[in-house]
Amino acid sequence: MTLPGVALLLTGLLFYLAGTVGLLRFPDVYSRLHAITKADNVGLGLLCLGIALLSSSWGIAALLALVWLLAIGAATVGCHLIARHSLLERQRGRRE
Amino acid sequence: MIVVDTLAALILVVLAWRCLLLTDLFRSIVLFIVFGLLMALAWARLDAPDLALAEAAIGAGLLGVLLLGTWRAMGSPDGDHRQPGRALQVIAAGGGMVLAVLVGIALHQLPVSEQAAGALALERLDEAATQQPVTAVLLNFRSYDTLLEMGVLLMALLGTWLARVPLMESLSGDDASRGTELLPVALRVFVPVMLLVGAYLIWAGTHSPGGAFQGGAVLAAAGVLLALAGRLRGDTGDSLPLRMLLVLGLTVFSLAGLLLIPLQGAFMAYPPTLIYPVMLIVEYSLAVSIAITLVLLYTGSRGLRRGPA
Repeated sequence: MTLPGVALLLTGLLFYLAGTVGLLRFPDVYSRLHAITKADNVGLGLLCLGIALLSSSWGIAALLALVWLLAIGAATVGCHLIARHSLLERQRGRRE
Repeated sequence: MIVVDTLAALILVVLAWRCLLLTDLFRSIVLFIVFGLLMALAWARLDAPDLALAEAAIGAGLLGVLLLGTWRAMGSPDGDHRQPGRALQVIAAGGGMVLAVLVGIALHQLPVSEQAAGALALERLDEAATQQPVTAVLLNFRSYDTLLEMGVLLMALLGTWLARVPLMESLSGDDASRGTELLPVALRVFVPVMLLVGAYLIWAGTHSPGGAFQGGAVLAAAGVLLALAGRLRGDTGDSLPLRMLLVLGLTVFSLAGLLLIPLQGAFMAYPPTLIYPVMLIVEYSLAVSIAITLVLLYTGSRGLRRGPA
């Protein structure tokens, strides 16, 4: 299980790298949020899958799945709130 | 791993340096939060998961929220954030460095006793009814410290009450949280999970990494989340039950120490058969007080009330 596990970890890191590059290079809040939430969620999923394979234990795999689900939920809500705040600010700016 | 550790240590120093020298207060706060997270990683690498948990939950999480809240309440702080003069900077930095060097020399010349406290504590771990060295030290071998820390936390809250009440009004709710369908669902999912994790961490403290401060911080984070979403509001009125919960930890801890004096003949010495139940009760009382103190530190208010759902 070591080889597929390590391969998954490395692929996960690539997604993190892509998300971070997006966060740094994209021009506005929305595209940055798009980059960091999507890429990091997949990256975290791949990391969890890789660690689960390396640990070869169903208990740890279940825990990691739970961690991933909660992280996705938190990232989704956080992304939604930031984007909403930014949109409201912009609308307020136009009205004034 | 030595490369990763060295890199992490270097980044920590650079982050601390940047955090102190930045003139933009907001960036300083963000860097401080990043510093806290990296510090937690460093503790984990040093095989101190208890400290890593506490650092991540309190150092990076709650302290970051408190700093950001204060920053927001201050309005635009950049206007009156003046850079001290060059001479003053040099004097302050030079004084600090001289002090650090002197302390270093003093520590170096200190004779290392064979009977170091840490070795003694580890030797007598069996008597502590807990296999977790950090918890044993904090609650059994260094009870006074933990008791006094609780006192310090309470003093911090009293100080905040005196200093921050005028700022409280500006901290009520954020419009981004109003009128979105996603937030109530998220609260319904996350708050129970956070309460469960907090309660588990407190219990886990008796045999593995965790404890009152770590668990209490997670409970407080649930409270801060509710406050951010407008479900919990700061209240100016005093409420007796809340005050009682605030001092619950101190009271139960002192009472347990005092009431058991006849059995062991010393303050905070517990008979071996009672250590586990007493520790569990004390830890949960401490955690409740810690959680409520931290939430009140965030709202800056004397009381709490339910906000509009």
